Amino acid sequence: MAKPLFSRSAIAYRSLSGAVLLCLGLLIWDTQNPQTLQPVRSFLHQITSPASSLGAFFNQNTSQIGDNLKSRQELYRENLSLKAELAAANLYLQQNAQQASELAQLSGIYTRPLQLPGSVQLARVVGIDNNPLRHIFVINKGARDGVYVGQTVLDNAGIMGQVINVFDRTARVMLLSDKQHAVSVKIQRTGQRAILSGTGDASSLELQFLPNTADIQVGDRIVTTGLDGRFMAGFMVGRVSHVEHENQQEFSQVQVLPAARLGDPAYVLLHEPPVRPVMRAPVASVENSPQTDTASQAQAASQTGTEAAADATPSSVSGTAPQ
Amino acid sequence: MRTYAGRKNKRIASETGNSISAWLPIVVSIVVCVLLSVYPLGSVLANMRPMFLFVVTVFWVLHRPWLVGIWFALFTGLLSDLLLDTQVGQQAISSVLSIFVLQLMSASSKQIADIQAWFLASVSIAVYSLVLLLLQIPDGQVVLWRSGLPMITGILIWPLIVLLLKRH
Repeated sequence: MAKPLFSRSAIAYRSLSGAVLLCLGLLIWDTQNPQTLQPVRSFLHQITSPASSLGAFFNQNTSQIGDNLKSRQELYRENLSLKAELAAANLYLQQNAQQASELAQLSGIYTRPLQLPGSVQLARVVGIDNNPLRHIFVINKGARDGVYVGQTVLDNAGIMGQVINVFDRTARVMLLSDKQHAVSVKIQRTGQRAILSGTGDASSLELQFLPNTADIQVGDRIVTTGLDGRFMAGFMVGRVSHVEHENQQEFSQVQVLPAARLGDPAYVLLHEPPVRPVMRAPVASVENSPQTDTASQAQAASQTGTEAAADATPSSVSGTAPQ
Repeated sequence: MRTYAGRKNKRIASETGNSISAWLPIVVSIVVCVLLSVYPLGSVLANMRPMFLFVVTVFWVLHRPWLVGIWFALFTGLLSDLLLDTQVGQQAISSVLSIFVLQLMSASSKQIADIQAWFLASVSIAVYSLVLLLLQIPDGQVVLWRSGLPMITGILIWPLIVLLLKRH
């Protein structure tokens, strides 16, 4: 005989009301203070990092079994080594192109010390974030390999993003295309500075605070300025793919096609500069949406050109507090 | 007729509800679900990953109603928000409303078979996905199939969850 089921008392309307009100309060509070719960999130990621490490371990081993079936292990390692060398050579090329452009542009009035790219470390992408709205993935290198929060991640074509969490054997990387990521950039041809932010689309980034009168063309190369104290200057970010000037609006709407393959990377490069950059933003972080700061920056940019907006970038949108 | 373990009245709840043995499987299952939620997967599998925490919440609400309910749903929802980097409150409110719908649907039932429980869980999971989708629309870039796949896998994984947890 079936047991009686659901002999419940009255539906808990009071509990429902309380819980919904609490949720709404948290939603509003988190919107206004996105950084407050960041330590809690980091702590949770830290205590669940063994799962990431386990995933990295299995991913690496299963992948290597597959490689062994295809070819010899030695060839596999050599291939990885050559990939790293090729990527490093491409980095040098990017740097040289940037420096040549600047030298020509400034006609020898201003020179700056050469910034050597430093070294790179190859890492394997072992998984992507569970939240489809975020562009975050997990790599198989962590604190043991010298990875640090804020480290630049790139492929052989350009910048991909930066490290946001570091665990013992793994790390989480936020891509440029994440809606909460922004970086200080400039148009290589003209030197005009702006802020490049993610749109949530891996194939399109958005250039912000570029005045309607700015000289910009489809195909212009976008490179990092280094002003944010996070990314070194001169790294290729992407090319302008669409420009729209509207008379009613103060700023142009510019879309940028990322140079790096942000879609579904298998390997990434972790860039280790000769001197680690000074993190200028102890409080604000990439988790702080650029859109939350746009009002004051837009005002500043409208008054003083893009200089103000670009200078505002490091402390407002592109830094991450070291953890 | 095969039925789920019966919901107990308050007298039974007072006898069994506070014991550690009653809470132990709940806690263990939540910990396992947390690890499954953050386990790194490739892009294809990650998009299909079910909402483990919510599915298990539904299971325990159906099987231990004298122990877990709205506030437990709030807790697992907040945990999901923090783990998955969604805005705090989004998954929590989705979880709370879905569990409330589940309680409404199940309140009038005197007994329930496995297949009916699966149906109730499916409706609850669908409500969860729908509310979450609506809350995430202002964030932009909501892709329907990305929201739909975890819902479908969440519904499909229900028999496995029942198989693993029912004896505890």
